[in-house]
Amino acid sequence: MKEKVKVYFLLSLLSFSSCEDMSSTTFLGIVNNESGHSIKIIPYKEGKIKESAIVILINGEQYQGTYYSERGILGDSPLNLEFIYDTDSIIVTFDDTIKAFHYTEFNENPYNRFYNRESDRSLYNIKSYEKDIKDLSKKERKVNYVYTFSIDDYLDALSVH
Amino acid sequence: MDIDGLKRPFRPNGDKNIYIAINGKRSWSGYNLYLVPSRIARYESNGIEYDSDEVFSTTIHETAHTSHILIMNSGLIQYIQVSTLIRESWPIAVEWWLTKLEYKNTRGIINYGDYNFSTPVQYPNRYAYQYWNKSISSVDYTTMFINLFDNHNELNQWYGGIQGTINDLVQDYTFSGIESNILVHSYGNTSLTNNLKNFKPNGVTNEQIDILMQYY
Repeated sequence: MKEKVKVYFLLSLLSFSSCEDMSSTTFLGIVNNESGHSIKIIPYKEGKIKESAIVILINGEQYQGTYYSERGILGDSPLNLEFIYDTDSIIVTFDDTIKAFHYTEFNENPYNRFYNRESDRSLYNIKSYEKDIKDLSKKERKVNYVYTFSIDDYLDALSVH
Repeated sequence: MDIDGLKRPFRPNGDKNIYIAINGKRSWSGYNLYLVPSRIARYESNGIEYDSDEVFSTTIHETAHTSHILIMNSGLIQYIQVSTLIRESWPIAVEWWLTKLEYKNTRGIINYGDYNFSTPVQYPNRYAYQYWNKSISSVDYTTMFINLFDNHNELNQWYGGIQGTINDLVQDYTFSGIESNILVHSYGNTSLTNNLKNFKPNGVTNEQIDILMQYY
């Protein structure tokens, strides 16, 4: 009888041994500049530039955010790019002249190309980023979010300039 | 430390809860086997070191498991019959709330654990985990109990590029009330929903509870 109790107890223990997901997903945000022009990403909060988060890329250059990890094998996690968090708008300039505005609150800008958050070109929308998933093992996943500025983005901004 | 009326996990024979800090890389941040000391990891499997608030949060999570076991009438025997979703979602809520109380109220980080807290810390503390949904997140480590307590509806709100999808019209449950009246008799979503309806706060309707629970 004692043995039976022991076995039951052991089984009980094993049944909840994994009280945290024994796995993790690492996320990384990446921005590529394939626009044919230099770009500057200037984030703002309440009208002030967040200087520490400005990104400057010449054509062909890449910017990487910092790695961010979560428990479990996950599909998505909030973007970990410094120009995204704790900012409310972003101005992207091409060659320091042509501008595109990215807003978190609904806005209209008749003089420049602008993207509200629902747009699939908004830097603030995870759906604007191509998702590259690599399962390194059953317990480890890597997800890259890649936003690529293309020549179309430049032409799009130029058309309302 | 303020634990907002939650029960402290006093073990039957007066035994202490013991935690072992693992100074190495692990694929988990912590785990709890109840009868042996809980493990809390220092590094993620990729070598990234957890911040101190994340270690704090994980420790609360593991402690909440122990509390949950102890409040069940027959302890472990009943606890193992509780669904994984409830077993994990409860510590998620407790770790969020107590870490927020500590880091916001006591240590003074102005929006720690709030819906606009964007600093990249482990869930559930970033954006109060309001971006959670079944299709992108862990299906067991959910916002269920956070959403019973908070007064924030995440539907269509934005969290670091992700739009909230849960229509959370429920609020004002207390964690101590859930622990005392609801958790002890809840094994799955059906019994939990019934208990939530039996002990609902003023102003919350059965329909609102049903709407919220359908997301889990």
